Amino acid sequence: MDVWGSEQRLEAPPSAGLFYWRQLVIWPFRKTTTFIAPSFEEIKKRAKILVIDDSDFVYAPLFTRDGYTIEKWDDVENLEKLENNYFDLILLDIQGVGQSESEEEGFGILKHIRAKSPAQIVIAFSNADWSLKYQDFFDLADRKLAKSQDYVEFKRIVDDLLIQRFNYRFYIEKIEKIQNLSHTERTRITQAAQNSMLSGKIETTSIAVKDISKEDAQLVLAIVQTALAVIAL
Amino acid sequence: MTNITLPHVINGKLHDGLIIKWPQRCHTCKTNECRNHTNEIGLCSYGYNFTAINKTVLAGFICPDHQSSSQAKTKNIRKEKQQTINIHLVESQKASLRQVSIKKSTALQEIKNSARDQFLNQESFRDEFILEIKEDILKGLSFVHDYKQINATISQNINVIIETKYLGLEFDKKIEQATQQEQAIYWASKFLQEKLNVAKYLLNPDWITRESETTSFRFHGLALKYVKLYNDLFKRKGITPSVSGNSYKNILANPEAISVIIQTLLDNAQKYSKKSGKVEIHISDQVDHIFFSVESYGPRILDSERELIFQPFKRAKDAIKSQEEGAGYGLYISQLIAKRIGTIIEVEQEAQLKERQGHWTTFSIRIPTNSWK
Repeated sequence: MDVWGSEQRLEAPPSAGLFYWRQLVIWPFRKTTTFIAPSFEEIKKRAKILVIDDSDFVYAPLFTRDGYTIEKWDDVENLEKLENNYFDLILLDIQGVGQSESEEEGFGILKHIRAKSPAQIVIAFSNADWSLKYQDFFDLADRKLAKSQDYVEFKRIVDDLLIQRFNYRFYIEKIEKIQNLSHTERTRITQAAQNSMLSGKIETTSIAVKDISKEDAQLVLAIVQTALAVIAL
Repeated sequence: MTNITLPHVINGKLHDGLIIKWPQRCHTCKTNECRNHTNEIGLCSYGYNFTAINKTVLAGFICPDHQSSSQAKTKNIRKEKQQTINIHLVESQKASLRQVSIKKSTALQEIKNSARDQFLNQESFRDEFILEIKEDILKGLSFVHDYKQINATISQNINVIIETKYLGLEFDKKIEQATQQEQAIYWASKFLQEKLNVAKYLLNPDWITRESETTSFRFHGLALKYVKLYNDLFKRKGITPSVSGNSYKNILANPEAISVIIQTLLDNAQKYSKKSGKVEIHISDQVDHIFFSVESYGPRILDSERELIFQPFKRAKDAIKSQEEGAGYGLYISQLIAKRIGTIIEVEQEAQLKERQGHWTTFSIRIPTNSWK
């Protein structure tokens, strides 16, 4: 963006977390503001993880031991918390959960999360990973995990996704994946989303999504709002 | 067939040459020194020269201008002018035999390649068969989900025990410190997981090339992971598998599906090897593929059984004799996976039987390194 000789850029090296480099040039003065990405330890300290599973989650004490904040629900206890990005990461089982909310159980819950909060990170974890019947569930999630995996594998995937959550690219990619957008719309909207993340103001994106369908506009705005909420932390 | 001018031995049988015949005494020779295959020109105790080109042995001639000739040994046969030949003629005969041998092996390779291509394209090797019996398989494998559930509980709990009981940053190091029983539980659970994964591909072959499962990975690392997984089982039979070759290439495929091939070949080698047997694993990069082979002693596979062993629920007669247990779908599903990625698993076996060990058997696959969907 180039406004009256000022330049604003958003940079984030892969896996480095959010990294803002904001440079405002007002000749002859030069002012630079740099936001350092949170360290992984910082991310871990801030992050809230939720497990929704009707069986025991045996790895919970290991996550706690390793410094994570983890909550376990046997079933969906508070739908609102799933919709408003209260948790940074949700581990969701497909069978035996969300029966009162959806006939499709965990899959229904995941669809609901995707509609309400498209940038919510969800790991689908189940023993039903071998059945093609449930593949839509796994495909809709950010990652999948078989329950028999080692703790180190669970931890590796959780760490990887938490780092992504604090990286602006994750949100840009989510916007890029919205299918109905034309190339021009996609370019314009992602640029606007970057600017919103940089300025902390949603208005730039709101203007950019005026011409697209209401549903897509809501998705884009929800993604940018999540990014802004994470940044505000 | 080239015209062989010198006396020669093929497959243990003596043949006269077009110019030189076998000396009389060679027909009653008991030492058969000339049968010791050597590319060099050797000298037998009678004083005749001999040399070998692949499996053909030229012998019963005298080559006075060759350094191997011996005055002492040939003194009694010097009169045999009809056995004498110039060294250059011998070399020329060897060269023409070599040429024939190269032509033969090229032709053989061409036949093999053509049979391989034919096999890959033939209609009979289809996975539609599995669709016909899918309902039966589904019933038979209805336990898979329950087993996975139980196995997940075992796997998670042994993980917690090992994670909390032992010090160290890496899980591998913690496993090394674990008691034998803890290690046994951990690896048994991993094994069961792998076995249940095979059922997944048997039930739904579409998994093999499903886009969501396709990723770029290093085959060598995956193969070594499974060698490690099978190490303990090999050890129990007093076998230390040797791994040779190296591969740095990546393949674009479903690693879990590819691992079914690796584990099936290792599993068979482990299952059919006798105590203190020998298992050789080879991995190497080739121009457009990665070559992977598992060699071991195993039960006889008759020529008529070579295709049968890759058919569902079929096993070689000798294999059934030596190992009653075994459903006979490992090689079938592995071949199915191989075919879906544009290759096949090949089997070769030496006819010669090694006592108490079996026949040296090689299962190999050439995994394409180009992209496929």
